[in-house]
Amino acid sequence: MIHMEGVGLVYPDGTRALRSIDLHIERGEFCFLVGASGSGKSSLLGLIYRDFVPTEGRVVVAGQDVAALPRRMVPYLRRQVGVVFQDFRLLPDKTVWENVGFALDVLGSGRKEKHHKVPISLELVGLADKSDAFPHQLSGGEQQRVSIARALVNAPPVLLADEPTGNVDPDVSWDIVQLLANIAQRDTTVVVGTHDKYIVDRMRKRVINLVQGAIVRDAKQGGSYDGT
Amino acid sequence: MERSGLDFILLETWTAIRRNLLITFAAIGNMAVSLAILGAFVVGAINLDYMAGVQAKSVFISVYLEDEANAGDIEAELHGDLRVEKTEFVSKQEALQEWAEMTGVDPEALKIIHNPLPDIVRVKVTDPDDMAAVAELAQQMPGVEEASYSRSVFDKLLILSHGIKVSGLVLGLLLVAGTMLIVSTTIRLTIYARRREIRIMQLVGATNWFIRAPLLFEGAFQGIVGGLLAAIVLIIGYVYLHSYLADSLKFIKIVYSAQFLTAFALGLILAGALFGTAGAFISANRYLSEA
Repeated sequence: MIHMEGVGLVYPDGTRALRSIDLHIERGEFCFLVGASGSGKSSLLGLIYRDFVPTEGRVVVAGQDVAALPRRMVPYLRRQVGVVFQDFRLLPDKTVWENVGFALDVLGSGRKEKHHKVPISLELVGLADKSDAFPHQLSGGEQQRVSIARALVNAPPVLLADEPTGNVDPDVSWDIVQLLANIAQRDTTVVVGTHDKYIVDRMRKRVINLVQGAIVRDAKQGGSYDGT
Repeated sequence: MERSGLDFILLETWTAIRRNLLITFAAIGNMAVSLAILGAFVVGAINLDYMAGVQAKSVFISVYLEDEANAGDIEAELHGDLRVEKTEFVSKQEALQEWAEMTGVDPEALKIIHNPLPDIVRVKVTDPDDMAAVAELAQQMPGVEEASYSRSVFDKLLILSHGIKVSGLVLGLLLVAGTMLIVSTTIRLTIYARRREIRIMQLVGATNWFIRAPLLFEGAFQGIVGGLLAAIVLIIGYVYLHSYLADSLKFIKIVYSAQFLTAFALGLILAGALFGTAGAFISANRYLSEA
């Protein structure tokens, strides 16, 4: 589902973010991308939803060569890749229902489709009863669930989460990651960038470890944060 | 909550307009003033063109005769010239009558004054270029007081019309550029206010056209309302000018018909829509190509 070959990324200011990345993530796989701040987690995730274009190598997502993708095709790639951020990125003047529906609105979806898909997505993240609440009325964990519901409403084959637990309480973090793991069970490829050692060690999933923009370890199964 | 596609775009447009109400008014006002000035120049040029055309059809040499001259001989001699298309004798009484009609003076009132006008032979030449030579010839004839032609008026009208067109075009372009700048600034404020929304739209895979559409509609809205205001002001002014001319200056004829006024108003609104959309397009594209 996600395939990288000899990928490097240098920012316009000359900073090298990633070097010789080789990576293959299967359909429906769940994996952690770990490393200290500045190790290149966000850059690597950004390559997958084409926030960045690799300066070297090849990135293939859902069968599409991301670097070779014409600009006008980028939106269609992004419809196949849901993204969740540390800061939720919800619209404060819209309700939970509207925030999730917004992702369908901008694709020009009809009302019928929305009324079908939004409740399913909210049900999945366990927020069906908070449809009419505004983001400021929710806890951090709930807000993150809304953003997950929004990322999933269009049923993308890939879900990326960049520090999804960074702004939520530790006990809620575990629920969020559990939710993401459940989503992977539904045949969605899930990649979670995090530096939450506790969670990574407890999940015993595949762990890809980045140090200074390079993969130093890729523990296929039952991995831990620091390889111990 | 329940909306989709175009509904969604229109609602986003309306939200943006409401959010920037003050600056929207400023942009609309600016657009209206610019388009009104531009429109005034266009309508001025159209009318000067029209007047020049009317003049061109009626250019002739007026040969003013001395009181004791033999009008028949002079007319015959001029008519015999190959360059002359036709001649017409206008007696001093007829000349006075014409003048009275043209200026709207009651002909009855003229009876009590001494007629100061001379007899006139009007000479129409085939080629306007021969005008000067024929006028010179007539001038030399015995019994001719003066031979003159309205060519100079005609020429001046053409120069004036040309001048108005050029200065109108230059000023118009400057105004259009300024207007588009104002609109694009307004749209930039909208973009700034909506940058989070736009970022989310980009992340969930909205096409650039979908992101751009509400911005373009906002620019078009400002242009259309500005054009409408300009059209209302100009048409009221024009109708007033027309009735004033019809009352007091009958010899000045301006283009005036419902068809002309409608086309003019639609033109202004269309121009507003075009400039507004173009201004929005500039800002939207600049932002989207950076992001």
